[in-house]
Amino acid sequence: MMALFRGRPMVVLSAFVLLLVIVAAIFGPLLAPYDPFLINHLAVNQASSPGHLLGTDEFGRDILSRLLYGIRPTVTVAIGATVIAAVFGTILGIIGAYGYRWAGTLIMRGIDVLLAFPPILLALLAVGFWPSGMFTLMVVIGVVYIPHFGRVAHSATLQVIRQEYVQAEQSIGSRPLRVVFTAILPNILSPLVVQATLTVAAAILLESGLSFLGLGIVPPEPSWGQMIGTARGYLNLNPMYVVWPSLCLALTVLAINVIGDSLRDLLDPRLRQ
Amino acid sequence: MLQVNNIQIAFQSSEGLKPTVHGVTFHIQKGEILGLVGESGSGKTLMSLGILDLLPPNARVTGGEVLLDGTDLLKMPKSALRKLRGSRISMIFQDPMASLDPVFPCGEQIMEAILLHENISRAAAHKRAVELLENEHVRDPERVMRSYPHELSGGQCQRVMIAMAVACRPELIIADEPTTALDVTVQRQVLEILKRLNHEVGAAILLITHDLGVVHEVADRVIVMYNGRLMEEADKQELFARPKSDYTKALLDAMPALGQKRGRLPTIEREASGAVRSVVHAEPRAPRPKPSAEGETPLLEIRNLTKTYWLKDSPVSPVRPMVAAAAVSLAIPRPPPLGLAGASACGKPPLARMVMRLADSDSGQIRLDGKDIASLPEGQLFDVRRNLSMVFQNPYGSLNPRQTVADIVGAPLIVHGRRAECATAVPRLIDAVGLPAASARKFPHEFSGGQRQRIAIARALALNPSLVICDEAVSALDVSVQAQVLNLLKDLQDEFNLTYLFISHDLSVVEHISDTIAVMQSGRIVETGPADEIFANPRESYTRMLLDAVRRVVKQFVFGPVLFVGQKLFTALVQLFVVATLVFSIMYVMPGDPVLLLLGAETNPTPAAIAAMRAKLGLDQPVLSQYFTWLGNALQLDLGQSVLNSYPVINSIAANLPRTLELGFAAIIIASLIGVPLGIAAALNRGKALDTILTSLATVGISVPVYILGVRRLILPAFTLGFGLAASIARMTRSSMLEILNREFIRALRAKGAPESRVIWHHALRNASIPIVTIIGLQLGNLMGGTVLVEAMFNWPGLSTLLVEAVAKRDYPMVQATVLTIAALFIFINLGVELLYSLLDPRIRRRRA
Repeated sequence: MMALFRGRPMVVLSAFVLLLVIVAAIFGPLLAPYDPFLINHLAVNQASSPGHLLGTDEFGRDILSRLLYGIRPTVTVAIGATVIAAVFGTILGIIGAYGYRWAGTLIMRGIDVLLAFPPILLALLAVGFWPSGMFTLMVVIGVVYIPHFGRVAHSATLQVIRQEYVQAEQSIGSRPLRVVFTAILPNILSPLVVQATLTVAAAILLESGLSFLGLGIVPPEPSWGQMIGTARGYLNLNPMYVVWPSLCLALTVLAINVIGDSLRDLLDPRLRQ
Repeated sequence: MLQVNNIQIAFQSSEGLKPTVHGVTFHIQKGEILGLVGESGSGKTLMSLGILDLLPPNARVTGGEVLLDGTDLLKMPKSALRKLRGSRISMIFQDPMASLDPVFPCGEQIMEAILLHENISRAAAHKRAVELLENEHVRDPERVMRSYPHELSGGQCQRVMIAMAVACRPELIIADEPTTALDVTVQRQVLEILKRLNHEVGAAILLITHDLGVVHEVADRVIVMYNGRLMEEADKQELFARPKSDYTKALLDAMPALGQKRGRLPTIEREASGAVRSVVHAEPRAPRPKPSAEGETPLLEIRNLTKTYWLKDSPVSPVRPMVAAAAVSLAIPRPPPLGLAGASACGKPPLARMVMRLADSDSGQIRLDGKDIASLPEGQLFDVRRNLSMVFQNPYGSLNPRQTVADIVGAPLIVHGRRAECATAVPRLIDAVGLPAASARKFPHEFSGGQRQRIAIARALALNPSLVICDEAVSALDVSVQAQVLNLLKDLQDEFNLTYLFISHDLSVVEHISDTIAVMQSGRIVETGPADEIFANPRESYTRMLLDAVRRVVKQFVFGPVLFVGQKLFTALVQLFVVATLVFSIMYVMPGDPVLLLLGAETNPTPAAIAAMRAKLGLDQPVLSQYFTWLGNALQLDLGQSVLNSYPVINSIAANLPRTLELGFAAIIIASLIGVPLGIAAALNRGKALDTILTSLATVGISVPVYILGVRRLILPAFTLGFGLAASIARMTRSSMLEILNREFIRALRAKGAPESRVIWHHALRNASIPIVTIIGLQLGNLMGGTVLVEAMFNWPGLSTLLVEAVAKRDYPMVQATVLTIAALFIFINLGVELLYSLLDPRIRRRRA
């Protein structure tokens, strides 16, 4: 674990940023100085001031508070979606590699077809037609990334099955389910963990992209992507309005990607032993 | 000619320098063959790499000198040393196929070895290359010249490597385990070639091997290494007849020798003082008298077992049959073990697996204790498995790395419902195989190869089976460790009353442990009988079997590539069809009645109006007929009318499609032009500042959402999109490039004397082009996704703008049409990428002959 951090300042920094984000996600509402929905027509589009550390938006709402509140839905959607994608994707991938031939072929062809749709396209369709909200978003984004997990689980399982210890399990008479839980799952965890990290980042970007287009988390609920979208209209009046949520988004996603990359570096060479 | 004085090599690790070769001194005279013998970990390969400055990046020569005719190679400037490689000293590596560049024909590579050092015409080089191959008795040398490495066998590849090595008539050839990766039959031939070249070309050979038999056959003098130190140096005869060092004596002793059957093999042990000696442990007790097997049912009886595999050499070749077992019949009477010997690739592995029912046979019976298990369904096999267990060949692959030793050894008990016995049985088993009790809590990676095999043996014994199949169980182990494991197997046989089916390609090992032997060749049992009888004529049956080359069934198939393209096209069409069906069903899956939405529920439309609208949209027909109508129309490019303005949808699509194509095309070109060079630069400067900067830039690039950048309207949409893609491309290009630079053939190229620039630009890059094309292809998904946002940001009139609008306004026909178009675009571009990929990779383009 410590090997992850040794001599890599970027990783330490990223972990720190993520810690902040998590703390904010949990305690955000308590830390916010103002009510994010509080409209104040007298203080519209103001730059940073002692009263409003990051300024106010077009309705006079405190940007800092909206940012803090905005973390929760984004992070919840991202993590929830990743869990859905991971669970179902892994199941499908393992069945595809280890189950009956026909089931495997069917599943992998299906995954290929789904991968033909860019994620945002599928997500657009779904949120466009279903009532918007956190739960819908979570399910939609989760389903969209199932094929990606399926792919990773499938190829990792294929490699593991080739190993003799799987044949050894079979030779002593283990039932398939036992083989999956004792031999396959523990040995495909590494690529799955890496994929999960990257999926969280992708889910955050996807959710914010949808919100940016006005189809994700809709106002007055705050969301970083949505704030960026709205802020574009007020560039002349309050240029920093767009900077703050952009910065938050970029830094969070960057931090997750850095951690995911170093996880991948850490876990990979060991596999080669 | 070559004098190595006190050479020291060390590894650079995070804890400092770890010395691995501790001051070795030896010499090679002109024209002699020096055998360098050592087990794994002795440092022999490192030392040979150190001579030519080909060490891996984390190893260094820390002392000593290497004098070639008086000049110290270690102090030579790099360019001079490079000229020397391949012309005065050349090298042959262990894995011939991995040491050749997969994307160039073999002839090119041999010619390269010549042209790097001599200024002659290509035609002359070609002629010389053909002569070299002819000299090695290669059949049809012109065809071999035209072939790619993957189209040749291991033996042929090694001949190509040898041709490359002798092309410039070197003074010294360093051959690092040249025969280890080859089939037993071919090993002999390659050794013959080396001997002959030594006579004809007069090149000295430094032959590095762990196999004393090879040394005995070919070498003039021998040096022995152990743990990074030189143990002994002597003429071959002297060494084998009167070894001086204890280690050499022990090594010679530990080899099971043909024709000399001994009770126990001596093993090598280190005493407390560090001295090495060979030890024979006394027999634990007198061997049991063999019970007579007359009239008793044999424990295992195989009758007429057949199995044929259908193989494809490459994706485009047709299937060809490989007979793994042809009417095999064997019988193992109780206790005395049956040994099964034969050269590899002749069907032994499938036989073991078929007996264990890990693979199914085509026909025939397998009778265990009188009962036929060949056709038993899996459910009934469960009980049978209690009596039958297997020890696999690969000690590194047969133990689950995530389980403790206790879990692994106890697994059979748990699976068969005897979990309660684990507490007593597992420690007993671990002790029986000679491992300390504390091993139970450890993980496999904490043990050596020999120890892991012991764990595997313990597992095999857990249920006290009657028959244990040892499938090449000691083949992957060093000689000294092999002796230990063989001794163990013999002891356990007595203690647990076991019968073994012992399978190996090494006749001496088989002879040591078996009383009855069956010899297998090409899927057939060619001889069976008591061990003594078989070995009464050892040379005859063994040699006969060894020298018979394995015949290959060869079929030329001209239309391979056409078939390949056809397959891909077909898959793409199927995908498109499925997508179209999904798209059609959007209308029915989406919540809300489209008719009401269009009419506006607030206006309280009359039933008549609703019915009219429904008819207009064609929604009153049965679903299936709607589907076919829609499909039919779609094929004629009539995708309906927009519900908003009644214009034909196809017009909007036709107007916006080119915009999206422009954007996407420009973006991917920009992305590639930025990303690929960045990735390559990062890989070439791995670990240095440039690498860190570029990698960080790339990570930032993929993290920053596309739409943030576009805020400053100065940046063109294509750049915005391209920038994010460039980052992904850069990262993946970097890792592909690194992976290629790590491959064996890169080292072989340097050993040939190729300058670094050629290695990278001519060879590595060409190999990298294959994954790079794949990478760029993979970015298509991101590209499509990105266009959605970029078009929205810049109000770029592309397909995605149409889509977002249509979704927002519930314009179903428009939604269907745009999704279909985007998906179709995606599918066909993917198809193009796959076809391009197959053009670049000769392994796909050319089927193996």
